[in-house]
This record gives sequence, C-alpha cells and structure tokens, in this order.
Amino acid sequence: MVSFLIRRVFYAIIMLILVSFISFLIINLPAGDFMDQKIAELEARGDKSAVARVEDYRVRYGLDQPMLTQYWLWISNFVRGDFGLSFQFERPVKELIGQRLTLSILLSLTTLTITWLIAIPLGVYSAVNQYSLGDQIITTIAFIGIGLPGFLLALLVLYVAIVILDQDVVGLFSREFQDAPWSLAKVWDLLKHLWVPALIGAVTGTAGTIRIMRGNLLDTLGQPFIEAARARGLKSRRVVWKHAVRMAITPLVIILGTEAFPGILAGNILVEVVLGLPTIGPLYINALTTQDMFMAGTVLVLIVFLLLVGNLITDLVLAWIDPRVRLE
Amino acid sequence: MSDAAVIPVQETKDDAVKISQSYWSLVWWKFKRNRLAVVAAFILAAYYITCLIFPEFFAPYSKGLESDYIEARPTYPQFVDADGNFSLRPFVYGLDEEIDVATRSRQFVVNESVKYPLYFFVEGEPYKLFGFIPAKTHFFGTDPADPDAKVFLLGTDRLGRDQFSRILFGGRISLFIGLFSVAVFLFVGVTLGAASGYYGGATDIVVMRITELLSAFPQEPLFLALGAAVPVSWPSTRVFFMVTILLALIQWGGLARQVRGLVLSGREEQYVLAARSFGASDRRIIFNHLIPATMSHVIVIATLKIPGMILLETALSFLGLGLVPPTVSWGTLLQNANTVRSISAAPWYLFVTPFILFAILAYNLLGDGLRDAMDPYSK
Repeated sequence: MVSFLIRRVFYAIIMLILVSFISFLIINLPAGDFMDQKIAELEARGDKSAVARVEDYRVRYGLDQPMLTQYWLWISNFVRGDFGLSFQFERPVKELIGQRLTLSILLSLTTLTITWLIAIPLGVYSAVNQYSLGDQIITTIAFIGIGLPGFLLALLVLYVAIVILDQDVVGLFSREFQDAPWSLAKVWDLLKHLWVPALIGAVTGTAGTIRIMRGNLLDTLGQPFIEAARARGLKSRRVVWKHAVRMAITPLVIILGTEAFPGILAGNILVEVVLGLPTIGPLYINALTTQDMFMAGTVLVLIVFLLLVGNLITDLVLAWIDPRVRLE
Repeated sequence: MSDAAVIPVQETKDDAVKISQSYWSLVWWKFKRNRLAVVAAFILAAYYITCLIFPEFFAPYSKGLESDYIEARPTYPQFVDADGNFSLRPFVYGLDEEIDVATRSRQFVVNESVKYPLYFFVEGEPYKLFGFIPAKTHFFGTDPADPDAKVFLLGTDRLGRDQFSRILFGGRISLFIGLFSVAVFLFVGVTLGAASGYYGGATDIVVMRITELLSAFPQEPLFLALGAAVPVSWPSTRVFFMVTILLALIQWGGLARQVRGLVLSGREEQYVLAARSFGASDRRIIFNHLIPATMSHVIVIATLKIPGMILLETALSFLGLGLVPPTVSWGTLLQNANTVRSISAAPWYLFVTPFILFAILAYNLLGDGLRDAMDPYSK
C-alpha cells in the first residue's frame, strides 16, 4: 500500500513536470508575446509610465530570456504558489483565479448533484425493469442526451430565454447584485441563475451516468449473491438498493475522480462561455485569445494537477470500498 | 470409415446457406435489421450529397454573394397566400425594409402583397461543379427573369448573404474536417498501435508513454490551447489542415492502446504463426493479417469519433480560436450568434445548430448500429 502510494505519487510528479513543460511550450507558441501587443497599444496612447511598467514585467518574468530559463522561472515560482501575473489585467493570476474559484466549485457541485439525483434512480429503474416501456424510453433519451453538445444546448436555451420568454439567464447574478456584498438576497439571486448552467451540464452527464449505472446494475443483478439474497426472501427493494446498487455504484467513483474533480476548474468551458458565467472557463478562453500566457498556462497545469490527483484518489477509494481491488 | 464419410456430406448440405455467408455479409444482414441505424445512414448520405459534394447545386446562392438585405428575417415557403388562394407551386413573400421607431433600428418585415414563386432547377449564379464543370442550374430558386425576386429560406447575415446557402457550404468544411481528421486519427492510431503491439520492446514503451502523457491532458482545454497557438496570420487552408491534424493528434492515444491490445492477442493466433513459419515479412503480417483483424473494431471507433471531431472544430471556431471568416464552416457561422444581442435581434443565426445536431445524432446512431452489427454472432 505504502509502496504503491509512493510509486504513484512519484509517477504523478514526473507527469506534472512533463505536462507543465509541454503546456508552457504550447502557450508560448504564438509568435510575439503579449508584451509586444501591450507596449504597442500603450505607446499609441502615449502612456510613458505604463510602457516602463510593462518593460519592467518583461525583465521580472524573464520574457527576454531563452525558453528554458523562462520555464524554470515560472515553474519554480509556481511550486511556491506564485502563479505569475496576468498581463492583461495586470494583477496576479492567483487572485483572479481565486475570485472565480468559489463559483466554479459551486457550479460543478450543483451540476454533479443534479446529475446523480436524476441519473442514479433512472439507471436503477431502467436496469430493474429491463426492456420495459420505461426502460426503452429512458435508454432512448439517454442515447440522444449523450450526443447533445452542451454549448449548442446552451445557445438554444439562450434563444428560448431571450426571444420567447424574455428572461435574463446570462451570468450568475442580476445586474444589481453584480458587485454587491454577499447577502441573503444575493444568494437567492445566484440560485435563480445557477440552475440553468447546472441543468445544461447535467443533461450530458446524466445520459452517460444512466448508461453506466444501467449496464453495471444489470451485470450485478445476474450475480449469484443476488440470487442468494432473493432466495432468502429479502424484499426486492432491499435486494436492489442494499445489495446490488452498492456494488454497481463503484464505477461512478471513477467518474467522480477522473471527470468531476478536474471538472471543477473547467468542466464545461463552452457552456460557461456561452452563458457568460463569472467562472474559470471563460477566464481561460480569454487568456488564450489574448495570449495572456501565465494565466492560460496556470489554468491548464492546474487542471492536469487535479486530474492526476483525482486519479490517485480514485484508486485509493476504489481499493477501500471494494476489497477485491488490489493495489500492486 | 464408411460412416464417417457419409455424415460430413449431410452436414454440408444442411449448412450450405450458412457456410457460404462471409463475415461481412453477416454484418450487413444484422445492420439492415437496425432501422434507426439505416435511417441514420440515409440522413448522413443526404448530408454528404447536399453539403460536401453538391452545395453549389443545392444552394440557391453562392456562399459569398452579398445582397441589400442586411440581417433579413427568413422567408418560409408558402402554399396558401393571404387571401386564402392555394397554389401547388410554393412561393415566398417579399421583404420590406422598415425603421423601428422605438429601437431606431432597421429591420425587414414580410410584405404579403409581393409573392415570388419558387421554381426547381432554375438558372442562377454560374458555378463550377467539382471545381471544373461549368454549370448554372440550381436545385431551387426564384424566377431568374425577375431581378427583385429573392429567397432567403433561413434569413441573411450582416452582409446580406443567404444563411441557407452558407450553412450548406459550411457543412462542406465541417463534414470534411470530420472525415479527414478521423482518417489521420486512424492512420496514426492504427500504425503506432500495431507497431507497438507487434514489435514490443522499446517501440512499445515509447508509444505507450506518449499515450499516457496525452491522456494526462484534459482533451478540450488542450485542444483549445493548441488551436489558439495556430498563428492568425496563416492562410486559411493551412489553418484548416492544422486544426484537422491537431484534432487527430490529441486523440489517437486511446485508439493506439486498443489496437495494441488486439494485435498483442492476434500475434499469437495460429494463422499468424502459420504465416510467419511460411516466411512472411513483418510488414506483410502486420498489414495483411493483424490490422485486418482489428478492422471491425476500428471502424466502430472511427464512426463514433467523427461527431466528436465535428463538434470540437465547431466549438473552436465558435470561440474564434480555429477557423476564421471568410472560411465558412458551421463553427464560423455559429460565431454570428455569440452575443446576446445577435440572438435577440437575429435568432435565425441559430439555424445552424439543428444542422449540426442532426449530423451528430445520425453519426451516433450509425456508430451504435455498426457496433451491434460488427458482432453478428451474438444474439
């Protein structure tokens, strides 16, 4: 167990180093850095002090140095928790991400809750009543849902809300609460907005989860221990929920670790962009389009970090809930 | 001995029909029975004929033709006019420009007193079929003798270009990207996977480590970052090929792993051992024996991959990180609808979404049908 953990952590660290280097390369690929643009822009405005300030950034972050040195500077600061500066906003990346992190986490948790609340009962029903009319309907809907791209759905929702219902669904807050301090009214306002992106995110997630749940439960229901439980006269509901579902639910733990956990940072970037949410996804896209390299690089590396940590936790949790899993 | 000689004769007689069926004809039989998948195949055929091969013919206008009708609303074909007269020949109403006093914006309103009948196989803008056959017949359109007559089935954009025509032309690029990137994806994935499984050793280790590294990246954010790294100054064809190749390059890992697994087990099969003992070269064994054995599996993966490729391109271009106008793709067309203002002022920009959705759905249904059909021995 301990040697497994050490090996996996070691492996994850190597991966992180490689991934962070590749990310840095990709983010740096576009010709000319953000500074050139910014300086040209500032010079056009004749803002001398700002030009000097930007030149100062260039030196401080080693942008005039060779690539490897730049990477080293960035990554060594990164490890210490200094993610660099967002050149576009001229504020630390950490601060900008921190501002939006809460809402991102809230959104992904809500999405996950809705997904599971819908998907698990439907998947169980579908498996227990295999080939019934209800099962046929559920599997068909789930099949269509899997192919539905969230951002197109978000666009259609926008259309219905704006053109037909004349409702405001953009963002997570109404205008009057945008910069207001937290209060009960603001939380209520947030909830009124949050369910739209959460539901859109849940549509695709639900379809996949139903399929997994149904497939696994069907496998489990065919096992001898289920038959044994039934033979002993246990109530059908008890057999299904207490014995079968508990076994069949383990793959969902894998989803939790490999998709939901890294999804906190950029679960559904496109939906977030379409709906203009103040979450991390749009921040990332904005950084990519403006070549705000530290911002984009940080988000990318953090997602990979969460993914690796998620994988690790998944392995451990699986070994814990399912004694048949051996950690080699 | 004499008994044994009789029985096989009878067996062949009974099983004659079954034995003569090849694997692929069994697959075809099973596929035909899946109604949804067959319908999906027809829908996709229609897509490819109208959008990929003959958009010049099916679209009433060319993709770049500008008109005075700026952001005009769609005019739908009618059979019954305002007075209740029925005509078998469909027609569209004319459009009048009007200034909305409240919002001080110009917009078009339907003028029910003007009717433009629609004709099939009309002469219109000249074009080159397949790029070299000059032609000017369009599938449908308005009377060529009447210069005022226009038909904008799905409205127009900011430059007065016909949305319907542009969606067909956009489909050409988007559908082609799906096919082309999957071809690259298959080539890279199958070759590297087969090499990895067949040779083992260093090749295997290198290929597998690369796939692991790829899988450590989240696909969507990685693809967006790579798309953003494609220089804006590049000519549009080069951007197009770059985006296509990137799509394939971030995804081949999973395929390579699966092919590797299949090849690893196939390598020990008797027919492969036989081929080797006859002195067949590695190349022959890989390309004539091992890869064909993975084909049924690979075809299913490829079919199910195409919609994902189309969607990623659409998403990338929608965000302005991939293809950019004047290239017309479903993604660049969707860019028109990327603000709340344009959705409320000109909701017909969203007409491209059902086109994308149906293509995606059809591909998923087809892939699902193929997956069942490729295993014809199961019940």
